Amino acid sequence: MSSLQVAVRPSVRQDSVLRLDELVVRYGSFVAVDGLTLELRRGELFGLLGPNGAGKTSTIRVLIGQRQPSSGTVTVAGLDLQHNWDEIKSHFGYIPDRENHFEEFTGRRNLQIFAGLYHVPEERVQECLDLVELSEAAELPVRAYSLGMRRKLLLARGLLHRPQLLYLDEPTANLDIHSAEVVHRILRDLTARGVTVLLTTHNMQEVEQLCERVAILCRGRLVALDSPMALRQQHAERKVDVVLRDGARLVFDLDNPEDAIQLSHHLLAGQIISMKTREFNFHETFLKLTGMKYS
Amino acid sequence: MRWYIIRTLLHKEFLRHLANRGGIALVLLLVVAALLLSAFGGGESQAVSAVGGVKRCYIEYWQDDPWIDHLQAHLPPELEDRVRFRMGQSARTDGQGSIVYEQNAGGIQLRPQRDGGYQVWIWHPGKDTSSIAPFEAWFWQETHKYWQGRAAEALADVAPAMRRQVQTPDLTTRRFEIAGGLDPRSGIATALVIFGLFFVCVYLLPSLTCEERERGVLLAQALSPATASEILGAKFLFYPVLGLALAVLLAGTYNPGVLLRPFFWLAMLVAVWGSMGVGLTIASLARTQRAASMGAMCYMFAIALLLFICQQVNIKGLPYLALEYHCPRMIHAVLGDALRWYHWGNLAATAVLAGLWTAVATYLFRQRGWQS
Repeated sequence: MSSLQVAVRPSVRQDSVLRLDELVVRYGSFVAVDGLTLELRRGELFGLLGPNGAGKTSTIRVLIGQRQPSSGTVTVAGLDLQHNWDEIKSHFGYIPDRENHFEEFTGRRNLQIFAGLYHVPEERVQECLDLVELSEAAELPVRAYSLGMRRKLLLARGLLHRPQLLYLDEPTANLDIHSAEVVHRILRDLTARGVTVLLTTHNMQEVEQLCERVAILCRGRLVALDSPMALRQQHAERKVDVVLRDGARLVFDLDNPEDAIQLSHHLLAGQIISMKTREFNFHETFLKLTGMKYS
Repeated sequence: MRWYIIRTLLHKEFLRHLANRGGIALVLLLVVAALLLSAFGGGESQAVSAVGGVKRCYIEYWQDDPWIDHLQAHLPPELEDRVRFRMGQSARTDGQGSIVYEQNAGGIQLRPQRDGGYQVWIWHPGKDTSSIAPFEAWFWQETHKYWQGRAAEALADVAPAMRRQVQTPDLTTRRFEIAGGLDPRSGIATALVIFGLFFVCVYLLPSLTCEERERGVLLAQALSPATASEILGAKFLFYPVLGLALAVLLAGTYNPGVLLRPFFWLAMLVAVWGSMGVGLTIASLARTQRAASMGAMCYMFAIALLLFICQQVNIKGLPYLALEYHCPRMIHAVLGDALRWYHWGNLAATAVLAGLWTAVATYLFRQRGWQS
């Protein structure tokens, strides 16, 4: 069975916040999302992964109401997306991959405008600025902000109305290590308080660190859906790469008894000058699952 | 419609314009132009000169003559400031000996001949012989009167009965103003008002809306609790009010009296409404700020060209489909105090066209308004 033909069907849960059921998005004859079924639970940090053109953006566009599904349904907090859009809008926050601020306004003014639209009190603006560590730069015009500061301001804007569901598109792109850590901390705190986070990213390390579950899309189809740990167990290779004194390079499969005996002989004979176990590599697994690299 | 959302969106638009220094500078420039128009050039003479006529006419002679005295004594009041008498010898000449005139000036030279007669040389700027017509008309009339007077005097002794026959009867002239006729100031004021209106509704509205769409800020607003109706509503509140305020300020600066005329307000309202329709259509079709600016400029050029061609080759009917045909006519009429019954037709036509533009704009904006 090829990695693209993996059939994954999650079970329906009572604490479901977001549910996609057999979602299909077509652009003419091109199928961008092909029968995607997903369910995100309350307080879950969920990663949506896939190579370019896998269908992530199309899925997000449906979730933020900018694209009608060709077929299938999307339910947010039990409300059908197509029929209850105006009600659903206040439930979620969206942090796009491309920063979109009023450049001529200060960071604070940007937040104040959206605070006005969400009808949240003025104090919340300062709270959000503090949260993303932008208080000191709050009175600077956004055009003077660095890319990292702009992304943090996006996060602050997305959190103004305390959404129950947060969609984040590449939230730590262009952030330095400290700022990325700040974002990670905020996301963990949010999920601890019951906020559901849907994260799309290309940063595999971030996925391993943050996400409780990940869905991997390829060519519009779901090819894997599990926790990073389960994927590790499923896809880790129990092999050892060895270099002998005579320069020979060998690979021993620890699950093969003959290989294990041969490896112990080499060890006892003192012929090995280098030995390395093959660790689980999420990136490699991702490439394998998406068919971009075959083992 | 929720007031707190509308208020926030209006505040946002206001702040964005406040940060746009170029826009503020242009608005101030328009106001200064209207002030200048209002404060200066109100006299009849400027009005005539601005349509291309001769501003000053020199009567040049080479010898003293009672004829010249007669002409000097019979200058009508409207030409008194514009006619100068001078000896031909004292005039400045070029290398060939021809008298040099300043711009917008002409001359009537009375050149004495050896046989006792005169040659009258008429100098007019450019090829348009009619540019000096008001001066010529006066000159020939008074010349005729003078020489006939001389003939009558000569006949007084030899044939008194014939004197009355050759004497020119008193010809008096009365002048009447055709309201709004050739007054260029109301035309310029109309242009300022129309430009102000188009600047706000056809240039600023698409340009700033497309900038928001290009940056993704329009999408961010659409994802907030603000509905499409509220976002559109705020734009339909802010820009017409701004356009109307600017247009009224310019018109009121030029002629404060128009503010008391109901037709002026009706004309302004339909003109603003139509401009908004055009502006929002451009805003919906253009994907980027640059495209919006180009779209606004191309629209204005295309319409101006269309109207010009229709006028030049006498195409009937087609101009009636353009807002820009009706709006200037009714605004010019009300600014120049020359309102006629048919301007109500312009008003009605503008309202119909404004309705059509708004319907198209609303449909397009709902179809593709939020993101690039």
